Amino acid sequence: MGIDRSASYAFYLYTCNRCATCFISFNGENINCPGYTYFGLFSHTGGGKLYLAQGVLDKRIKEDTAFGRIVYECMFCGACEAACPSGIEIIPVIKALREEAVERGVVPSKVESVLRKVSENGKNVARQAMLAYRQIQSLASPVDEAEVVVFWGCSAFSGERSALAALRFAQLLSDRRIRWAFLEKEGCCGALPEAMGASQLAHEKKEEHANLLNSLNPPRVVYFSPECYAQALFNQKIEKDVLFYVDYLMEIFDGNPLPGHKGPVSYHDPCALTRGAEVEEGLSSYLESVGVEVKHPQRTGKHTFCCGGGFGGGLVNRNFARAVTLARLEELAATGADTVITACPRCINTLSRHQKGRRFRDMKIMDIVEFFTGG
Amino acid sequence: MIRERIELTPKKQRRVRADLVSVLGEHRVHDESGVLVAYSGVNALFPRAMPHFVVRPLSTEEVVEIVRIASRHRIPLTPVSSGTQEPGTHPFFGGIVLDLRGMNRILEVDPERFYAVVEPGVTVGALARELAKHRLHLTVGSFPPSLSVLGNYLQVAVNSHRSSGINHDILALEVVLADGTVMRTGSKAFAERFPHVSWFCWTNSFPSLTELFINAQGTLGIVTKGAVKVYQVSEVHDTILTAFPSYRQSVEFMKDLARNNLVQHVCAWHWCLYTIIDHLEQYGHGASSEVVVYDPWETPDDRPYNIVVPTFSGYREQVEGVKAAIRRLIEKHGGRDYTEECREKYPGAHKFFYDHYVHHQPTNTFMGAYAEGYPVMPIVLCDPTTVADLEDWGLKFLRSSILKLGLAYYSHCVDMGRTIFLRMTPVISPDSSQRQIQRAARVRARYMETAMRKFGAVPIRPAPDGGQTLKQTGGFGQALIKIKKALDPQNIMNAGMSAGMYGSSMEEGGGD
Ligand SMILES: Cc1cc2nc3c(=O)[nH]c(=O)nc-3n(C[C@H](O)[C@H](O)[C@H](O)COP(=O)(O)OP(=O)(O)OC[C@H]3O[C@@H](n4cnc5c(N)ncnc54)[C@H](O)[C@@H]3O)c2cc1C
Ligand code: SF4
Ligand code: SF4
Repeated sequence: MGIDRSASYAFYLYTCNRCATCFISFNGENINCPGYTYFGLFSHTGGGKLYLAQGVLDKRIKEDTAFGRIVYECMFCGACEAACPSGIEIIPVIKALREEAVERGVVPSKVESVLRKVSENGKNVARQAMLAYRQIQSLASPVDEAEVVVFWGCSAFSGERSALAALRFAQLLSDRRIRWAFLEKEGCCGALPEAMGASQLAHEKKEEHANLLNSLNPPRVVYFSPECYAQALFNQKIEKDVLFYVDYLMEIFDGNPLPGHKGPVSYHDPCALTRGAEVEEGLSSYLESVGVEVKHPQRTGKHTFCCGGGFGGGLVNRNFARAVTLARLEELAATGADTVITACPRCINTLSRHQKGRRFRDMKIMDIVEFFTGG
Repeated sequence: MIRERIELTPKKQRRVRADLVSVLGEHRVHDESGVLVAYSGVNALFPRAMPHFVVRPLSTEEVVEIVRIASRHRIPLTPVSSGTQEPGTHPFFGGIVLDLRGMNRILEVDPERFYAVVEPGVTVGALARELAKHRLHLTVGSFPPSLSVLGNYLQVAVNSHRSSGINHDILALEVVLADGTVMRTGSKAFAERFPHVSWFCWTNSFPSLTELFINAQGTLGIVTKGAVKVYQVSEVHDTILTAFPSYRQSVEFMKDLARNNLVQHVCAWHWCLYTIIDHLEQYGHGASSEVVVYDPWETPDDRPYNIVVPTFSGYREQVEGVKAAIRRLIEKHGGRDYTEECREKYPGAHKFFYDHYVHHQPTNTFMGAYAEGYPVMPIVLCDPTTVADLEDWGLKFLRSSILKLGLAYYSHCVDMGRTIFLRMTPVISPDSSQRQIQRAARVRARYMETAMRKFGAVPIRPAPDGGQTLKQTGGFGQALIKIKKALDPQNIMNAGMSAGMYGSSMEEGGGD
């Protein structure tokens, strides 16, 4: 519906004091907003979005194309909201600004084409992921016989690294004789269109997603992507037991997986997990619980930093995305650990993409399932 | 001379843009309304104003070039270092906003000479961390670490080291003037001729020009570097949190401490405010409207009316002596040592006092108080003999007005108790109508008027009022206007704020 004077966020649009904590974090030193990291402008921060929304309400925003671009030059990562000491809920404002862009018809063409794909329910399997995809398909059980449904999400097969991690997960399930179902027509959970401001499409997709899951026998759904998991957690129409695959892994291993080595390792907390799904302790708690020595990057948990693949920014401006990824890789490298664990198909693809040919190329970036099954 | 908001024809807009791009490149020049709106001002009491451009210089040389472009095209320049609260960051007359956050280098930390040299984008948090490596600290207020050091210090910053006679923390400045001249103050002025001369001294053989730029709100020049005072981390830093049943007693106690060289800083916190802070610190995010509706005079239980926070540091033996003397003064002034009780009952407030005033570290705690309202904080520097009467009147006056939400105050003893800073902290609801906001602005103005007329206080952090306040200063105002006209005859430097501060007499023969 776009920026709305009667929405619950409207009250807070005018309370932002420009204190800058949403882009320069607690110690006043680290830049925690990817948008600010690259653009260096207040307009590209969480607080700046509140002013942008004021501008929409006061009719001070003119050039529509630029407006459309600016609202997507943001990773939708929520670091701003997590940091704001006034507790201002910024993500709903960013969402509404994007809705405004959709309504005004000024969405950047790349966003438009992704949304078109979602609405057509096109499955996005990258060429490099095709082999793994086929193998995964072949490992699954018929849905009526399955104990769990695995929901892979659109990013699982968007790159080779994520597809290999997905394959490892599927193999593990099969090795453990777990009967799991693969949905040929998985569809969209609604997370992506929602983040992109296509609220009507998001609504439809969330409904379709819930209906699809509710129509299946298995009582449990395991999500391979934290983005979809976070979305499903708050989708009240889903009548199934909703699980994140890392929790499921811990269940399978009875809390005692056998990690590839005992560390030291570092980790990249996906923002969709720690902020989206509110698992604030993040990956270190899983790793530490099984005795792995962990080197903490500066920004973790609730205040983790984006991998560069966030919703919107990663799509509309490649230089922006690359700058954010390099900043993150830099921080991970500074821990001194040569292995980095993550648990998100989008993050693993993004981080590994920019690793190539650079000084980070010796860094091993792994999904937690790969690490827990021997590296 | 720029007298009003400028309009740019599309052709001129393109020419100015091209000039700016030739200096800064495309990536650091912005004229999209989606960017401009984020620099259109913050303070709820003053109208938002869109600039024509936002630019991000990274060096003094670039600032000089931008100033020359502005001067050539007669366009206002508004510098913004952090851009919190101050009406001076509203580009009332349009033009170019200089976002100085990108100039964020800590150029020197000199533990021997006891100063650091920073650019305007250096944050308090970044400098605090750097200084800690050298066992040094800077002075801070109750503000977040993301604020600019110079943005704050260029105001009358009432920070954690003000009671012993250190009135501000700027040692010397580098300033770009309206004609592009780069000027350095203090000993550094001589570095023009003798480059090895450092920033070590605040003055030279001539009148001190450093202070000219404090409180100037960017109307006289753009500060591109500042040497700021730093302080030693001593063997012991401590406080005795002290409870008083009245503000009058708190003031007498503060003066006694400061005048006897017992403290570096001492401040008093009204119960309502330390209760809010405690709530925020303990429960995290969000304001706490449930605790701000009390009657400001009646504490709801046995909590003290004021908590006074005296801070001191030094060698262990010295600090023991100071503590013994302070205990005697606590008794003399009818207070009680509240340190342990505060730790137990108000751990959040206890932590806040220690972080900011004992350890000189900024925190985000206070920021949380703003979410339920916009701060409309009348601040004065007051005569120490009348400040208690002002507190008494001020609470009653504001309580009966639209500005009753969040009504409390904090008060700092400045310059050995020659001056007492008093900041009332009311807020207005962000869903106030335009009329309510105007009423709030009038109440604030009336408060300031009475504080001056009846209680002999003076305002700080000027509100643009068409030069009304300056007019009341007679010869001082005339001299200041002459200086403004000499330095910036076209009124390029923060033109709108200049009109607000200096008024229409700036346009006439010489400020008379
Ligand atoms: C929660 C909170 C608590 C606070 N508590 C305290 C406290 O206890 N004590 C205290 O002292 N302060 C306190 N402040 C901070 C204080 O309000 C600001 O530091 C002060 O208002 C200056 O604003 P700023 O730092 O945002 O600077 P800005 O808004 O960037 O600048 C202020 C003015 O200076 C001009 N200016 C900025 N940069 C330059 C430059 N480089 N050259 C020339 N002119 C320039 C601007 O045009 C503007 O007119 C607090 C702030 C907050 C948010
Ligand atoms: S942290 Fe919150 S209050 Fe501070 S600038 Fe950002 S949105 Fe505004
Ligand atoms: S969502 Fe992320 S990128 Fe966007 S403004 Fe907030 S912190 Fe910055």
